[in-house]
Amino acid sequence: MSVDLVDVLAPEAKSAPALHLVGGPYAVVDGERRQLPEGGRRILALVALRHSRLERRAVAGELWPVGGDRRAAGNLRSALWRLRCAGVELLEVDGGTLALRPDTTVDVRLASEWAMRLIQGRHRPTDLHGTGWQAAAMDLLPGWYDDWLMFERERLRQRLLHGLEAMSRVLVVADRAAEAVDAALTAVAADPLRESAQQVLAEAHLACGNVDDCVHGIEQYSELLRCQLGVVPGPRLLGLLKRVHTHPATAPAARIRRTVDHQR
Amino acid sequence: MALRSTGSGGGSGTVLHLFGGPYVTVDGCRREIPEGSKRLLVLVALHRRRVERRHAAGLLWPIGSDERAAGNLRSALWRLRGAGIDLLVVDRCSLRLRADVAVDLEATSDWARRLVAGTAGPEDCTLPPSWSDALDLLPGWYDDWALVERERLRQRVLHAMEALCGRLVDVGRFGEAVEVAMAAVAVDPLRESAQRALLLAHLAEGNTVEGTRCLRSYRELLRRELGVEPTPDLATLVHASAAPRRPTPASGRQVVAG
Repeated sequence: MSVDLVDVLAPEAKSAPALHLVGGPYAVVDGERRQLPEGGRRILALVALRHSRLERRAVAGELWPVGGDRRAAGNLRSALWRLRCAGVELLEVDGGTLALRPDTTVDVRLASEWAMRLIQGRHRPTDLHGTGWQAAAMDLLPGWYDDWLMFERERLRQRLLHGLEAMSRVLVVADRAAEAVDAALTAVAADPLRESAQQVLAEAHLACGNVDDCVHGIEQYSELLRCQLGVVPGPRLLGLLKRVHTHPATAPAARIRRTVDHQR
Repeated sequence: MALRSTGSGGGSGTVLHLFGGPYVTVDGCRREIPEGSKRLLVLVALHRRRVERRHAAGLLWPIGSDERAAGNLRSALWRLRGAGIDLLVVDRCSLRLRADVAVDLEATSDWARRLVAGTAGPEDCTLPPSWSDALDLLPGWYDDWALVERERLRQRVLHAMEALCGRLVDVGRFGEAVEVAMAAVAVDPLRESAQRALLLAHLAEGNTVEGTRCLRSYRELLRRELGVEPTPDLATLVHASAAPRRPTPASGRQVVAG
């Protein structure tokens, strides 16, 4: 069973027609899951990821690049027709253009918006709950190798990783260090070589007061970097390590731990 | 700047919208422009200054005689008046846009100019909502004068996005910097200055590996599409950022061991 992003991120939109790309693509119309015919899946995925009204000709050329314009236009027509037959009417089609119906919820758009809110510091309290779904969303439509998709996949991946890192930082400030570690670990798991994720993980460990975990994590990462790329971590991460080693008592984590002990 | 709020259709005054149009809003109410007058209105708006009637007629109706073109121009003007769209100041030999009419493209264009010139304030440090429209002005119009303006605006906005990426890196907003750079790369994956902005954003964030991947995929794309290599200094950027991190065998272990 895959994660349902609409459920997690916009439970209030549950009744609207939805297009799911994570674990799909499939559509939910009138609360009921509908499978999509092959050509229709590609059209809906493309239109949903591009966010705007697209020219029919551009869509046809992008999805069926081989075999001439007329053939591509024919394929597009028949794919649209099969979508209608399947009872999936999520598209607004006119003579020259295609767009998603404005009331359609798209799961990866919700995920993108979640990440952008955190990145820009406009997050809501509910944005800080749970890290179960990001990993699934990061590998968008696995097994599809279309050029247009590879790019959108990478864009979403970057956005979600930055979102998780921002989430971890926000949680540290909010004194919810355990959840901060969880968010950072989700980012690290998705890309162990990503230094900004390792950085927030180290900071989150420190905020928990776990100097050991922090040092151990950085050492493991250094080892990984050395084996894979033959480089050492960047100055920011090493600076953090140095600070912990030279002044363990003034490291932010130790301060927090002291406060907690004091409160006890 | 004031236009940003009127972009969605609200606000006051008369605005000529080219993005998603052309159409006109008067105090937030949308008015459609008669089909035969659209090109005339857009031509005058894009010229910004006074346009000679004869010049406009020649550009818009290049085929047929001058008298015929002048007649077409008269009828296009007449239809505009008939539709109650009173945006032009017309005299015997020239046309211009009324001074109090705003054009939506100007706000985006000014935003881009400020970023490129380095005079942008903090409020300019996000993409305006119209940025994607600005990259494809009047899609489906193939008149030469429209093509020139489209390309000019597109270049200006792409340069602005690259400049914006640099600004965001400077203030440590790496997530948004990567986002903006990726948007520019998506518009034109072969554009090296956009790829460079993306690369620099990854490296500034300390993500050498992301930077390396980015360089590799751009190199593959260039080889496949054009059979050329990226300019050498792009690779130098990545190596330069990794160089201080390349340890001598002894010191590397030392750092790790702390």
